[in-house]
Amino acid sequence: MPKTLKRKDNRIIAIPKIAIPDRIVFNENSNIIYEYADGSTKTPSCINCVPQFCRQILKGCVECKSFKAMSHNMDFRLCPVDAISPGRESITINNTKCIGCGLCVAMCPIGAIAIKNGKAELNDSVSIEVQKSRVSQKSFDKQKEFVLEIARVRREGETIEEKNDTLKQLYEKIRHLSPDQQNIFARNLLIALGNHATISRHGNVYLRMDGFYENRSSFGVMEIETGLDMLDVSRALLDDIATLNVRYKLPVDKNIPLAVCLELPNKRTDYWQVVQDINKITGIKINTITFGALLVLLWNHVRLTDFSRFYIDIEDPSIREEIRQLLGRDIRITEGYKGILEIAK
Amino acid sequence: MIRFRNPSSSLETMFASFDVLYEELKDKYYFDNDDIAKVLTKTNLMASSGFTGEQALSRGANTNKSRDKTYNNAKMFAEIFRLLGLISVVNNKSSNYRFTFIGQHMAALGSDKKALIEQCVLGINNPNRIIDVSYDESVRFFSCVLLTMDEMDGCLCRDEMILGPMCVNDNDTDAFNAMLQYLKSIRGNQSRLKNDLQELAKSLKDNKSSGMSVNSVRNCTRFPISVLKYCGWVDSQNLKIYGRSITFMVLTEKGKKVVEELKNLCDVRLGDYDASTNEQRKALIRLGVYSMLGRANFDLNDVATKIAEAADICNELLQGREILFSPYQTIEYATVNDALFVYEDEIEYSSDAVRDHVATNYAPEESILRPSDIVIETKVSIDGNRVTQNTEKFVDSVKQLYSGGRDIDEIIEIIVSDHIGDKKEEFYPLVETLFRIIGVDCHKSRDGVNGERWDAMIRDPEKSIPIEIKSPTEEMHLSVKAIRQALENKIILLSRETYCTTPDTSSYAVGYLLPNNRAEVFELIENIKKTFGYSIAVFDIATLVKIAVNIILLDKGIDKEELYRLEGIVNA
Repeated sequence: MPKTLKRKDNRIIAIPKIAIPDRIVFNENSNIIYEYADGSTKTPSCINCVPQFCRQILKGCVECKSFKAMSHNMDFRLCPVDAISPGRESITINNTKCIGCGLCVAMCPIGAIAIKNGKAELNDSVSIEVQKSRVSQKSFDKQKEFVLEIARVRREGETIEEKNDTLKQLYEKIRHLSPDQQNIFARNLLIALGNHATISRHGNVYLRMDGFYENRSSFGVMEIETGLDMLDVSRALLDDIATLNVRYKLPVDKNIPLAVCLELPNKRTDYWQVVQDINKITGIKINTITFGALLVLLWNHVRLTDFSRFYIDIEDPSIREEIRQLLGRDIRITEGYKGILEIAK
Repeated sequence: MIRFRNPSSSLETMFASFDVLYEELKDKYYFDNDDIAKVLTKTNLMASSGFTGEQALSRGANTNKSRDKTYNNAKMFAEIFRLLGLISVVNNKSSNYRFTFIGQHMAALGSDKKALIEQCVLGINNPNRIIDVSYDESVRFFSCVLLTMDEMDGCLCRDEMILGPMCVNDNDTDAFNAMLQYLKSIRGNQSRLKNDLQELAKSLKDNKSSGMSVNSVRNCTRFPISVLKYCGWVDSQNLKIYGRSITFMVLTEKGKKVVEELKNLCDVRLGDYDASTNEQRKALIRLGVYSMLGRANFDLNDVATKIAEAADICNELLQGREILFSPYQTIEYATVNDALFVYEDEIEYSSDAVRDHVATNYAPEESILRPSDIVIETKVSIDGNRVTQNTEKFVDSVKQLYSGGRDIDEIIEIIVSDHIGDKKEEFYPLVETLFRIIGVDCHKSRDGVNGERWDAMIRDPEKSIPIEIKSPTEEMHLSVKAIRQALENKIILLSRETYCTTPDTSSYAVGYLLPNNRAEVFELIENIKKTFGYSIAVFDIATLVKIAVNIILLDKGIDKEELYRLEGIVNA
């Protein structure tokens, strides 16, 4: 076969010509700011980074060493509603599609995307000096060098302030996503919080589990529920654990199951009692966390890689204290609101 | 009517799989469906019975190819890749493939394939010399859909797509315009749309039998609709054009741009190609391939001279317009390669390289479940302590049937079919009645008692058994759902100690029919046993009826002790 033609890469990428700041400051409805020790500030712009971190997750993020046989969902888009498109000099964000979840903000290494009026927007009035260049190995290497350094800089402030109303609106939008999009969203949230995470390939009817996560200290099966059938989740997790134990020799005591839900179920469902029963009889602790809690952590630049702290049962079905400890402050969500941190009243 | 097969995988999975296949098989002189299956299972992109990798191959393998799951999955992938012109048939054998020059470019694109995929989608056209199809419409289908949408106020619903672009010869201007007029005439008229679709379905042939169901016809739209969305040309929107809200495909801004481009392209079909001279044919091939790559953002500088020469040769047909022609999707592989000056080295074919990667000696582990065949031989008569109004009624009805000249098998069949439409209100008491006749103290749970999560309980001073019941209106065949619930029942009973039991006493799932996918349910029961140590037994209603009828008529039943230790799918 003759040589293949080369792809025309018309993209122009930017290499910032600035010093690395001391911190990156986030504020909802404002540009993201680089702050320097001398008090000076700069506003970063999209550098059209080659990997396009705000558009797609890296393949390596779905690989889990403890469960290599996983048949992954191959949709690597980051944005659950595919609102971000590539552009010649910068990405573009479709304002109509965007649900304002903040995933792209968290994954942009530069801090070029902010949430303004509930939508992701590129910073305006940018003030960093950049050198623009066509994509080449040399320009890519230079850009990579900057990205690696800026990724280590402390992030402060809140991407989005957690408020009842904000979460209410976001929950409505999450409910309207397709089941596939909801699973992709949960996977990407876990990745953005510092884990490897994967969801099952669409159409794989034999491996019934929704997903699997892994981090430095642990791994486990994952079920995602955005409706009210949480009892199905605890049943599914036991099925997942048994299946992985027998088929893939994943030890039961190492497998830390995680239930990701929109709302913590109320006591009438019997979920919390069943979770306690399962723990008492099998020793398996089912950990339960909400999309809302994951989002609040994401908006505050917190890494979450220990899900075993989210074992709660009928005795005290609340994750408020755990989230408070992770944030280092009280949470501005009313008690019982939407079942985000404790069961709804 | 054009028929697309419904691929079972998402497009994302398919295209990600393509790269893996290319990497593993590009050096083979040809490869086949077995090779595709091996590579995809080896790399966890294809599962069989829940297993991936080596185990999938072993589990999916079946000497009868038509029933070999992995082989059939691979075949479906190959069909789609052929349809898109990424692989092509060689050696005049329908399942010997090679990657095309376009396929090579697709693999080189990594995760950013969309622009070239769009070109391949637009390249799908009929008739062609690549794929045998059972329809004879002459159409460049995706272009036809987009141009139709443009004329239909930017939107089209599924049934309109079937009646319009899927049934037209779009290279006949009169036919295309007539199709548009027809669609405009039925738009808004729900009953006409429905009737016309039914008429069309009736007139079609499927696997040599005449007439298709409307649902089968609609299934043929799954692939095109998912492709149109994947390419970003349409969005779904609910519109009330037909009175009630129906999902329509609506052209996106990107879709509108593509429509404008299509209007300016010169659409060359197999007929145009065949009507050309040899020199023109070669030029059309070069122009077709390079223009596809150019629109997909490949740098054409290296081949600019070839393009200019070819454009000169074809100017009479093209008249200065850019060509829309996908040679690998229209004519034979060798002819296209010849025109592109693609010469292939003769590489000796060896599938060993592929097979070496894959262990084929995987032996499934042995089952640990006890055999679950129970024998109806023990002398048993109805226990007076278990008699209720329902049991008396059941006994009477059986005796009545018997005295009416029915034999035992007929009686079982009559009773089972009498309950086919049961809701839980009828079915749960039936299960309770049958177990009581069998001789155990079975009680259906009262509605609304949250603590009793099981549907019935065989109460016993030491070894109580929880029962999960699925009526035929809940699910005709028991599924993994019931097994999961049977496990939960066992755990709850052990934890809450509502009734006495032991860990090794069974938990039951009872349904109208045994699971459709017995292997899957059986595997879950075994996994539960191996992991948690609990035994789950599954009954269909016929088995319970059979035991009960034998007790009533012949005083022959089963050893009750057996009931406590059953596991797996119970046969009597």
